Amino acid sequence: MLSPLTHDDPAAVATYRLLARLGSGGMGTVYLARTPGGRTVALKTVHARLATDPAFRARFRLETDAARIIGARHGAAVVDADPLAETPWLATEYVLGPPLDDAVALGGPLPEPTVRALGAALAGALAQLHSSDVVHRDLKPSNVLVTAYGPKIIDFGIARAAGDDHLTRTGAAAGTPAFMSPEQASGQEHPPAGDVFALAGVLVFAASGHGPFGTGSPADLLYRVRYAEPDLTGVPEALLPLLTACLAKDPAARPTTGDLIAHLHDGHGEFADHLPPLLLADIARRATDVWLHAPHRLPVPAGAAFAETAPSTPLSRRRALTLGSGSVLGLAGAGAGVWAWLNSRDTEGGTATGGTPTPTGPTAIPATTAADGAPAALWQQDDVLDREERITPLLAGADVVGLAETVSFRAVDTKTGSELWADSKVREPHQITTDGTNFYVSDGNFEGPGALMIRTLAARTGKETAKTITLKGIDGTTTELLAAVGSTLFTASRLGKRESDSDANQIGWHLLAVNLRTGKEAWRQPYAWDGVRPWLAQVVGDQLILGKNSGDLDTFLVQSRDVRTGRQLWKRRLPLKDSAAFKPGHLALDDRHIYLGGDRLRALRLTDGGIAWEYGSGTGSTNYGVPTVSRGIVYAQEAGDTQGIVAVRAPAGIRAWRQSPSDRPLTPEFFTAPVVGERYVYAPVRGGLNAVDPLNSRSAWVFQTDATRYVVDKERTRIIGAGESSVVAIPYA
Amino acid sequence: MERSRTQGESGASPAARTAPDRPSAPARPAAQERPAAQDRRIGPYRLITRLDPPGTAVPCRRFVARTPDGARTVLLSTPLPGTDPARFAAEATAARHLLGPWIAPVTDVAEPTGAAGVAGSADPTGSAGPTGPTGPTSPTGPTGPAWYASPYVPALPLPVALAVHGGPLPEATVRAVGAALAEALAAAHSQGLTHAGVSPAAVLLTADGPRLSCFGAVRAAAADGEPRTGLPGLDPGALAPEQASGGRPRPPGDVFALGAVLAYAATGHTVPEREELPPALREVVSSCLARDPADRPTAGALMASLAPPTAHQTVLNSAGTLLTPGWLPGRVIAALARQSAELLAAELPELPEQTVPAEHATPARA
Repeated sequence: MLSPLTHDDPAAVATYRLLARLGSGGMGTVYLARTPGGRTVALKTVHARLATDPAFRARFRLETDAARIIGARHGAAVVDADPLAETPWLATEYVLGPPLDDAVALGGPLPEPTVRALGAALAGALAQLHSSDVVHRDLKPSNVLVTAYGPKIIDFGIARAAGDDHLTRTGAAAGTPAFMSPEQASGQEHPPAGDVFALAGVLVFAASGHGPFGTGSPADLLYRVRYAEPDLTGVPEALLPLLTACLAKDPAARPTTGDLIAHLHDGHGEFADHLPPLLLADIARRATDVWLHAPHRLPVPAGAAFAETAPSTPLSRRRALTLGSGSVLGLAGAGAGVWAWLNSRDTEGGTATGGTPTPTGPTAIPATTAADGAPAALWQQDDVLDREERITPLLAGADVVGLAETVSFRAVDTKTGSELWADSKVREPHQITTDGTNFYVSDGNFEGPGALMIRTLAARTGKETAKTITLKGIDGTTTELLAAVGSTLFTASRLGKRESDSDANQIGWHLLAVNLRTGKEAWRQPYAWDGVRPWLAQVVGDQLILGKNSGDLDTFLVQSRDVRTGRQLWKRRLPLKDSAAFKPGHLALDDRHIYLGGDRLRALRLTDGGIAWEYGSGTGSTNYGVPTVSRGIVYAQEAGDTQGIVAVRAPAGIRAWRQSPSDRPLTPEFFTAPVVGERYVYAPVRGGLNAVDPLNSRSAWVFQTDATRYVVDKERTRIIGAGESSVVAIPYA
Repeated sequence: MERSRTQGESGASPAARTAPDRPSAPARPAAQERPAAQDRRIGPYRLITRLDPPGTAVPCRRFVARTPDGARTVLLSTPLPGTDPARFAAEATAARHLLGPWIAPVTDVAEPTGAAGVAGSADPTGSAGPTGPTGPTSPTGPTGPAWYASPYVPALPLPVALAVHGGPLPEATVRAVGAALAEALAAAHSQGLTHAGVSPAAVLLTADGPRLSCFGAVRAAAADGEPRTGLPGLDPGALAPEQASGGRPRPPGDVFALGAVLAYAATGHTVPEREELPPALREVVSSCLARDPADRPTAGALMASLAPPTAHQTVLNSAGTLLTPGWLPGRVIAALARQSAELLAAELPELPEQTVPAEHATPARA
């Protein structure tokens, strides 16, 4: 879709005025742009860094020539190109139609008549290419744009980022080998019959929603493409013989493009007659929206001053980071007319070992609590069956706190502690989140095709205040709701339907953004499942910050993504080997840094994920708990040579104060963030909440409770604590 | 002042404008191949193409046009030859007050010309043209044409939609169009306004619903009291009997015209035999076409019978519930997409005077 320009996009490339971003990837950015005469085009530009490589320029020129050969009927019409410019660019027609993968995601597998019409038209396009001695080599759903007059093939497998050369050598020329021919997968020449094999894969995908060799790691796919029988489940019976023949491992045994045209379609009617209504509606919307787009540009993001001091590079800081982190983002969901520069390549790390972390307490100091001077609870509920999974309770409305319990979700009045409503459809804490106004609850189909349903519940009544959003082709039963901000809901979701097979449940994971107003998916980006939840998520500025323990619990992963596109801006792994498992329940961030505990207290820059400062000895015996940040000070519990709260200045990592070593011995709860009050800093300790007075750095009192997580109500009058068996309200001071 | 007057001339008589331009062409080889029609301007806009196929009966002339800087594309309407441009301009000015999802928004109106002398219709904001090399039309220019503009979105006049579809439209489409237009009329009528220009050609189909255009074509055709039968721009089948005989346009006339539009959409002509209409629409369309205005339903009642209330509808947009995917036939969507693609690809030809206005002015004076 059309995204605003960012602050560092140029105003124009050659004579083209830039209007919007259509997508970007490791090789460059595609813009919607306009000539002085008002012609609107898709303008593909190449990163300056790649442009300095003569070999890359040569391939970019070949790509441009290939685009001209396929022509306007079967491809995107080439308007103009300058492969020799400082920033090489290619201007093509802005194609009004979704990529095939988006079309299937939108309305599910296509009906047989659509698949037939699509297949015949694609076979015709390939026939024309092959007659010009051009082989496409990278036919796949994201390279097929479905317009009202037929499919258009884009993005030949010629121009590749320099770093992809090794992939070419191993045969994985285009990232995902899901639609590659066996000969290509084994590193041999890809003949015209290889395009026929790929075309059949594309049609299997269109008809069934899955490729003939499934999904998974490139290595698995390469193996299956070469040796395994294709999976044609869901393909209409009448298409099976032809598609099976096209998927023969022996190129000589495959039908020709002429055979395909003859067998797929008798040529009756117009192409649009064969398209399903949802796809037609999407085409109509794209044809209209491009005229309604008002060009605008995003402001300089907070913290961009750091970019000025970064090492000089011809790229903007953000782009440099994207390249530097090895991120090669595809354009899933980026919209029509977009050249799929490179495939989505997951940059998530971690091995899928699964398992549950078993944090061990860093100290053996006996817990003693003192109720002296502690205030009385404002209210307390003792009939709680808490999951303790979502560590921060959810606050919504002026006075509602939500708790995800074992059997239901309960909304409690923060003033009285009385239950406002309960929803038994929330079985798991990850099914619910809030934007502070409403609660959002996910659910899904346990049988049949996958569907993610999102209900919007009013904070005080639990009543549905908006139409349920349904997204097809997504397993809603395993979806984790990450955050809701503005009108966007972020989720971690598996594509497909619910699977009983646990192996199947490990593939197809994506981060999704859902527009709560329109009920449409805004973007999706894949990530590799590594067995560990949850993602902690928070939005700051135009960044979605995500944090999570790695599958082996050796590292804590932090990454930043563009909230508009899901594009990964940077990622960072922090070692946890030398610290007791750091398993935070929330992310502490301000407008400059993310603060993390572990073997040290660390601040990562929001701009690039680099370490801004580290505090602490870094010895194995020292640990820092989950921090919190307030008014320029980071607070965390520390255990090592001293024990208790430490307050560190947020900008530079210099200690402001620390709890007196001679204070009463208490066992810190490292996985619970401290609460910062007006008068006290509240440190969660075993068996209670310790109020530390910053004026004398000593514990004033300990409130006894089994609560393990806390939140301050919106009016800042009380701290709500939730634990294994109780919910309690403590006066905030 | 010199410049804006020059442009006023070029807009007023495009043919005359291009004629003096030709002699200068040899000095600029690029201009030689340029068809004269491509230099045409109306107000601050350069014309790209006509919206209606040549030879079709239309209530007003409609063009797709663009600002000379290429930035804004609009749907531009001008009066038909033989109609009163001043009355057309007055209607356009009044149409600025019509809002709603199913009305083509009038965002830009030429000032009525001094010669036409329509008192009381001058809108102080009406001439706010876009900025650009040409600037707005001179408000006092004696020969300035009447026009108004709406932001362009891909749109097919209803007769074109039937042509590309290959015949009458499906009942679901007719129903959705009818409900939306009834809603638009109901809103206008509740404001005390009568559209007085509803006809098949005045209805544009866009991706997200119909749009009413050509506001006031009946009043522009002839003043109240004069018979209107056979006047240019009026579709006789969509003209209520009381308006044909010169009666002042009132809401029941709009309902009659809408009935004719729906009859046309469902059968291909505005005066069908009752049996030609789909059974589910027979009653409602026939009631709109009653000769006696008192026998016709109100626009609000018409909307309710075309789009029965549902549990999820909102107060603001009830006709929209019928505009679900599939409301437009595939070939109509394909034609919308083609129009959009062609206009995205359309480029204003480079004009010497566009880049160097001073050079243009010199030969014009000479």
